[in-house]
Amino acid sequence: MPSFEEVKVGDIIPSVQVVMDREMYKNYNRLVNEVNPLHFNEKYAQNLGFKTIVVAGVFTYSFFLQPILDWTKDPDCIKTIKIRFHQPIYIEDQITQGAIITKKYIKEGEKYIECDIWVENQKKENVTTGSAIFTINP
Amino acid sequence: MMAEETPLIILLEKIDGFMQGMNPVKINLQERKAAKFYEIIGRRDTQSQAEQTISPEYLMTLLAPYATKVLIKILEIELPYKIRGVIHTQSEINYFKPIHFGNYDLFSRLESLQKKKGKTGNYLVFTFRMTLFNEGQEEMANDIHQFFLRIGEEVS
Repeated sequence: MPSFEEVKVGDIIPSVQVVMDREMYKNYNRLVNEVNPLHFNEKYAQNLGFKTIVVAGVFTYSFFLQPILDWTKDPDCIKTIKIRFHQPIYIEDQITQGAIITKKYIKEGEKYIECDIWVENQKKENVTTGSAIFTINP
Repeated sequence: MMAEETPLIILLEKIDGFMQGMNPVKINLQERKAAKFYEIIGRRDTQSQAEQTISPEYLMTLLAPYATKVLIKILEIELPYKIRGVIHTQSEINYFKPIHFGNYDLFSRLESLQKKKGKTGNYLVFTFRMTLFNEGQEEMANDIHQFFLRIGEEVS
């Protein structure tokens, strides 16, 4: 990744694609002992007006930071994350996640970068948005 | 307006009381469980592995069963409405220090409770905060979640 000095507001962090794989999600639900039927019962989800099983926000969050972490290669860089789930992400959806730098500054000797993050589905619908504050170490 | 707000305030105090009664939840953060998460999502960064810490994307998963417990507690409380569904709408996560495997205390508080009218129905909007402390009582991270509970008619 570029150095703090090289990073400019407006720079795009390379996007990442992930498929909400049914088998992967089944295993994940087992791991977290998912109890909300919206996330595993298709009929229940449809009765609530959804197309099919809605993937839990906590699962999509598992991938939300991927563009930043792939870019910085530093898992300790993340300071704050905000995430808003606007539209459902369904099982087997293919999502694309990207980020754009919105601010950079130095505070108490630490180099901070802020970015907006977006997630869209295969229909190019904006399903999730958010922002992140992370540090860049020399 | 007062008549509408008073029951919500009572409900908020009741639910917050329940949550505080659960505090602190003891968490033993195990490498084995984190490894399972990384295996499922197909990622593991070598730096976290070498430093015996969890990477930030695991935190929400780690705390998810406790958030679920809180929601179940909320549903167990005699709510004056029938609950039709639960939707996670937003979160904010703040990381203060790298989180190593080991023992932690988790504290939860209900921050706000509102009633909202949406396009598809009426909702109770819960915002709660979970804060993770290490054994030295240092705040490691916090996790603020908002959930919409779709509500039906009032239960008399």
